[in-house]
Amino acid sequence: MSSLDNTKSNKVSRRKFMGLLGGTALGAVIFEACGVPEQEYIIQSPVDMPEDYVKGEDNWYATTSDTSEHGESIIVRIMQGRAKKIEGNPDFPNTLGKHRAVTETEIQTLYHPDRISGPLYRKTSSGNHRPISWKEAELMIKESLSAKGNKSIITKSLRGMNKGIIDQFANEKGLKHLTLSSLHDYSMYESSKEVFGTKSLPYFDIKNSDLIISFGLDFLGTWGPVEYENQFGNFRGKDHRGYMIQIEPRMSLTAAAADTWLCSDPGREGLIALMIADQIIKSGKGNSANIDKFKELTGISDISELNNSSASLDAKSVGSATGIDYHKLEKLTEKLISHLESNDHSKILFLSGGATSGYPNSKSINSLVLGLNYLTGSVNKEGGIILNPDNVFDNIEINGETLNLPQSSSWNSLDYWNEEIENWKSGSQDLIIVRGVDLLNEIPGKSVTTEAFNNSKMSIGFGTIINDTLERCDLILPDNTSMQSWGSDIPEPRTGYQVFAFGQPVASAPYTRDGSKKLYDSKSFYNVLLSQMENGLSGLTYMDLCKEISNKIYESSSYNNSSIVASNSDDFFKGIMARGGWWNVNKKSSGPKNPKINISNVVTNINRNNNFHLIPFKSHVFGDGNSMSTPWAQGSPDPLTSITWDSWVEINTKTAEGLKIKQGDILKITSNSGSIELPAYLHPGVPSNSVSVPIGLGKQNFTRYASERGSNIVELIDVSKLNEDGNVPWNSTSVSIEKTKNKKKISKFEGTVPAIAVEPGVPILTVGPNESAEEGFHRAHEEHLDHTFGDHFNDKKHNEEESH
Amino acid sequence: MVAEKQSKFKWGMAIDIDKCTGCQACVLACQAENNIPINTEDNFKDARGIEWIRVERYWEGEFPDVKAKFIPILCMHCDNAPCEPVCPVYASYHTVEGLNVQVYNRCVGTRYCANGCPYLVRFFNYWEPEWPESFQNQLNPDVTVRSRGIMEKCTMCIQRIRRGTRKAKRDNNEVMDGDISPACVQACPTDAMVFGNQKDPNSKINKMKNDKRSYTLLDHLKTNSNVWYLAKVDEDTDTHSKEGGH
Amino acid sequence: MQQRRQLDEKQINRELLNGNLATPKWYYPVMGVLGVGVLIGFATILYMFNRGLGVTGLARPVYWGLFITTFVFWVGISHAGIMISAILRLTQAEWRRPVTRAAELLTVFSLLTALFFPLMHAGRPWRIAYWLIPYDWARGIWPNVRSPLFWDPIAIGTYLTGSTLFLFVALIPDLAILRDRTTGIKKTIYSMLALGWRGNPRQWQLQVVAGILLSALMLPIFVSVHSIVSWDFAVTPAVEGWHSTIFAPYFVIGAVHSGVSAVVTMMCLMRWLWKWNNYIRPEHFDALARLLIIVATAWLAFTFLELIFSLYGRDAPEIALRELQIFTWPWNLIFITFLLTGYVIPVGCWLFKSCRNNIAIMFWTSILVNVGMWLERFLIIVPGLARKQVFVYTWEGYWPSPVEWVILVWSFAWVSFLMLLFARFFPLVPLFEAKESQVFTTEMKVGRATVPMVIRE
Ligand code: SF4
Ligand code: SF4
Ligand code: SF4
Ligand code: SF4
Ligand code: SF4
Repeated sequence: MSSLDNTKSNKVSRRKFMGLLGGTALGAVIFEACGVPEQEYIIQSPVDMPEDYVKGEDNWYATTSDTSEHGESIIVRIMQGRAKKIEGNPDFPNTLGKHRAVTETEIQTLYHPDRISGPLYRKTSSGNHRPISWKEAELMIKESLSAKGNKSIITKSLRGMNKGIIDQFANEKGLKHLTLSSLHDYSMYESSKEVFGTKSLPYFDIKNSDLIISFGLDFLGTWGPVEYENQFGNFRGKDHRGYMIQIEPRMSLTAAAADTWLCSDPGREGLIALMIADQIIKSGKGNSANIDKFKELTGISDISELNNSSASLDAKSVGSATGIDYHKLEKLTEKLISHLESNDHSKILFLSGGATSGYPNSKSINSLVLGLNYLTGSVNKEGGIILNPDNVFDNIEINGETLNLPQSSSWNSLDYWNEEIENWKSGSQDLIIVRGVDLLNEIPGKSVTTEAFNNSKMSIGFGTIINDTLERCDLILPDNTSMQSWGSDIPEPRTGYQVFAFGQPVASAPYTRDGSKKLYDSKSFYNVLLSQMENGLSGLTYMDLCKEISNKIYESSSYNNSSIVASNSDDFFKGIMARGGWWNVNKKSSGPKNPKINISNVVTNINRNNNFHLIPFKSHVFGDGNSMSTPWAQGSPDPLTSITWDSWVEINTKTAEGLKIKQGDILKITSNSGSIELPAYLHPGVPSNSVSVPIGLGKQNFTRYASERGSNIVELIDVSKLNEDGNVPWNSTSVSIEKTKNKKKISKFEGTVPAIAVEPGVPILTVGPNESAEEGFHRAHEEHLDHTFGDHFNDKKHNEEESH
Repeated sequence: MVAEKQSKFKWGMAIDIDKCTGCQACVLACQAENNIPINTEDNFKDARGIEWIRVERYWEGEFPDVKAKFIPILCMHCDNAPCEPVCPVYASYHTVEGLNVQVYNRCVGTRYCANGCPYLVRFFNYWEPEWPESFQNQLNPDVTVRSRGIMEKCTMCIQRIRRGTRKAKRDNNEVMDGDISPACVQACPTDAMVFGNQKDPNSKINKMKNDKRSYTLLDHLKTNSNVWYLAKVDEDTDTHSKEGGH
Repeated sequence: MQQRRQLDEKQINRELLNGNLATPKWYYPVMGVLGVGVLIGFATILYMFNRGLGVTGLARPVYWGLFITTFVFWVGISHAGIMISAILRLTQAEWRRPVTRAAELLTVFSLLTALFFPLMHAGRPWRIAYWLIPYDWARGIWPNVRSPLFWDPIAIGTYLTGSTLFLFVALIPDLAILRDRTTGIKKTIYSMLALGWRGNPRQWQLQVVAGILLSALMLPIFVSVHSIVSWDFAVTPAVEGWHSTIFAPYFVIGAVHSGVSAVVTMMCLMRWLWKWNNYIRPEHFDALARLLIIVATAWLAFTFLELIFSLYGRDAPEIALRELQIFTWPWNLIFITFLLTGYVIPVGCWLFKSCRNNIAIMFWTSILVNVGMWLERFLIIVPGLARKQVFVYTWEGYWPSPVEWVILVWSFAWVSFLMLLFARFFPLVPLFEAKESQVFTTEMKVGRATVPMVIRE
């Protein structure tokens, strides 16, 4: 009878939730799309058995994703209270039914065998943790909060109500709220908001664009919501296949998918942007109003002023300064100009960020590149940059308390963090609360941070699994995953219109097999905080707050003609929950407010004293490493290298041959900050003057699946000079590499032979524009015969002729 | 043959590799949907990782004129499947709906079918697959958990096809194009993959397989694959270089 | 040309039964060593069944490896029997006489051993028993007759049955002699086995006719067994280097090459172990070596034809396969070793009469042939799989694991063990054949055919 026990154990949230769904026809919309007829909802509920406990029947429930930084909505297949499969929410604007590989792994986080089973406490920093009850734990939290002193709460960067709750909490309890930015795209977020004069990131209309020139933005890899990948499919699939150019010092997934990848020397990308501006203006093909606008925003009267680096901007000079064959740059400008000519509305999209955000001057480069969109008239136009409207409301009032709902993420700079850590070190820190951030592994200088962290009088960590930071907390508290808790977010970037995302508990708490015991005695982080509060929010749960937002939306003018129509606010809330959120496609931005393009310093020289540039990157599956605790994530091959369960250093095949380095040789990589050892992976897509390493691995304690896997690249990053905003210039480190005596068999899916097609056209056929598959095959095969046999035969014939 | 003609369905898939970014979402979606054993580090080192759909990556050229191209490869559900006649026990057989299916209960583990399959999409369970108890909550009850000594492969998510057709029948509906979607197709962020009924003249799959970019892998082996690929487009390809040269 | 010394019957009986009526000194130590090998082998096999095939070196895409190689190898060895007993008998090659039984015996035991390998290869033999033996008429699911794997056991089963009968028929007169020379329980058993043999002309006539008929019946098996084994590979268009139309004759001739060489190895051992110098004489080795030169050369021609045919298509994966097989380390070493041991060294030696008459040289060259022939099968089976089609991304290597090597060694210990066990209880050289070759041969009419036969003992 374990299933009935399960039902009872989560009666409140589950039953309530069931009730919510049962009443609304709209709630069925999503389920209709996913294969369960709506009438089945009507059968459930009268008995004490929610319909998702009917054997053999599945249901799909919407909630928000834990692994996404962008507020993506997912649907989860539930059978008898257990989560079976995650998919993208087909209704939701920024998922469109799609999801990333890593999203799938959230189920394994839910059922992770190493999830923290209950609250843990230890007295001294050297002692072992022992299990305590939630009651004891909550009392301890209360005590440490009520004590005076320096107190901080550390979380991932937050938006919307999550940020609102933390702010309220921090305010009331006298805590500082800190967020981490070490390898984040901080400067892109900041510069794009400045360039387009909006409160949040703009939206890229990739689908409708005809020509995309992206400076380092890996929007097909780890940057942006999964919807951008879907858009890319449409960009390729529409009648006029879009053309894409990626300018980046490493071959990311976006560079691999691009029609042209221009591998610029790190830090030099600004020159290409200048060249583009120069050429567009000089060509006379640009719209003069656009050019004027661009000049106005950059505050220059003449194009020559743009170039304070005073390098010459012809293709040849730019080519030699960036390390790119100048023919390719000429082709780029040709393409650009011909696009400007052929369309009165050019549908050109300039993107910047990602790799480009890792330089000391990233803010300026990002600013200039995003600003180029003004030059081509691509701002707030189809196929260009679509600005996001301001949020319907920036705050809500609840019981006399004002909850702030910021619509964009922000982070504390490394400068700021360094100061903070200095304080901790001095022993003046009384309380650290940390949730969702493995700060010891994410801040450069692990030993210093660790020591400082240990100096805090009390530390409280919330999480689902132990990581290096949580392990050092005095009080460890098991958190719910997003599939077990209520949630809300304001997606960022939004899709050009107003969107809220909501999450709800969809799976019942996991039990042991015999049904006798809950596997994990966890509580939702925000509910624990709310329960500690004594102001107007006290006594409320996260669900109540969600409902408040829902009511607020229902009352606001934005409600009209939106995604959900309901006759009362209760039904409206049910509808929101069924669809994973609320949106109004008609609420759009009217245009930029006080935009500004700040281009003080667009070209820089990254030193390469140690021979190689170090290009750290987020692998498409690994992401920032925080979702790597599951065997699905660990066992999912990195797309370019197919490596699993480990990190590696990518080095160009030819360069490696010159250094007598073979696949799997352990290399010692040394920068001014430190050194790590990693196995070498050779491939031809790495520039000869750089090496790349994925971030996010190398955690010491991170479950049975992920402990001690790979090495932590953060150790290497040179932070002696921070970038313009005091953040980590993570693409600006120079390293030397040295072959050690050790070797390692790399764990990868790929076979033992370098994967170069034995013959062009198999198995991947490439056709030219307007060429059919058959013609393509023919061409490829002839090339092959010519290449493999023809030359040989021809040479022979030639020699014979000569000898006669 | 008669039954095949009478069947309302002939399933097929088309994959536009011009759209595929190599993101691996299809691979993990398939793993989650089909109770595919956990691929451990040793499994990969021993070349025993199981991926019913795999994304192959090929290198072309040298830096800086280098390209990485991706192609997802799954069972082609060949009408003339070389894996079928070699199986001594009919564990690899063909349904009237055009699917090559694997009957785990019959498989005796000769691995002959895997040799017979030119596309390398059949995977053998060298070890007994194991999941920690808590992970077992996730296992899809619609899909058999295989034991060691068993050959396994893409089923076109037969369980989803069954649910889809059953639902249509229950509701007195026809199965509409797009109603049924295998896990990989559902996940694919770029919509590179399309699944559908070839007997439905208006289906997307029919449109795609008749596209001029469409081709099948190893066509010369005449396996009559039911998975079509749409060629990658390289706008900078010089398609006329041959002319004049000869 | 076959010179022989006249021996009297008593001496023949004494010398040829010397291993059966008394135990040679070396017998128990040797059996002990082999027995330990056999036990270790079986323990390893059980370990593998228990843990799963993960303990082998097999992986994707090399799904077949050492086990199938060794299966083909032992089926190849089994062709010893057919060649010596059936072909040479029907062609009345006089020198075959002393080795017919040993060859037949080798056939039976190597077939028995060969059958182990597919069962081990599948990992869970009980499932094969369940699904491949069609016991359930009601279920209506029969094994798939299109699969060569279905015909393998049938061909091998037929061959095994035929060989066993053949062996037995030829053994009857000798069993009678043993019956007459033993007492007690042994006598009872030999009597039962001798089926009341009295050596009267009618019995002799029947025995000889049976032998000849069985020889004739075995002829189609000669063609079919290794042809069917070769189809295991040849029907697989997916694997480059496998789907060759000349595989059937190529495999058959290769099997004869290795089978006859194995007979040579065995003859050397028989000469040394039981001192049967009077019966197994240099002229026998000479004749076998001459036969082997022809067989080996024909086989080599097939080897190169197969290579040339495959390259003729200029198929890129095929070229990649050959590049691996012939030029890539460590396959290039295997390839060279295979050519040297399978042909160059042995045939080079056999060209000289002095070598042909030198027992030690014949012993080592015949061993080399079978080293080469094992490598040949390995070279055919593994590289083709390791370079499958155009999917370079999945190309992998294969190297057998210790478990597989142990099982390979076990198979040799196992066959030797069975042979020696047999030799302890039954004469390895047929007494009547030895005697027959001493006396007059004549012909008689059987039905419409004229067959060679002996008048009486
Ligand atoms: S491995 Fe299984 S499915 Fe494949 S041929 Fe053997 S019995 Fe048939
Ligand atoms: S249940 Fe499945 S395996 Fe069993 S007999 Fe039926 S079809 Fe075959
Ligand atoms: S792709 Fe392979 S497994 Fe699938 S039907 Fe064809 S031959 Fe069989
Ligand atoms: S169709 Fe289903 S079984 Fe086949 S690869 Fe896709 S997800 Fe896997
Ligand atoms: S999910 Fe789609 S885009 Fe991603 S690898 Fe698979 S087929 Fe390619």
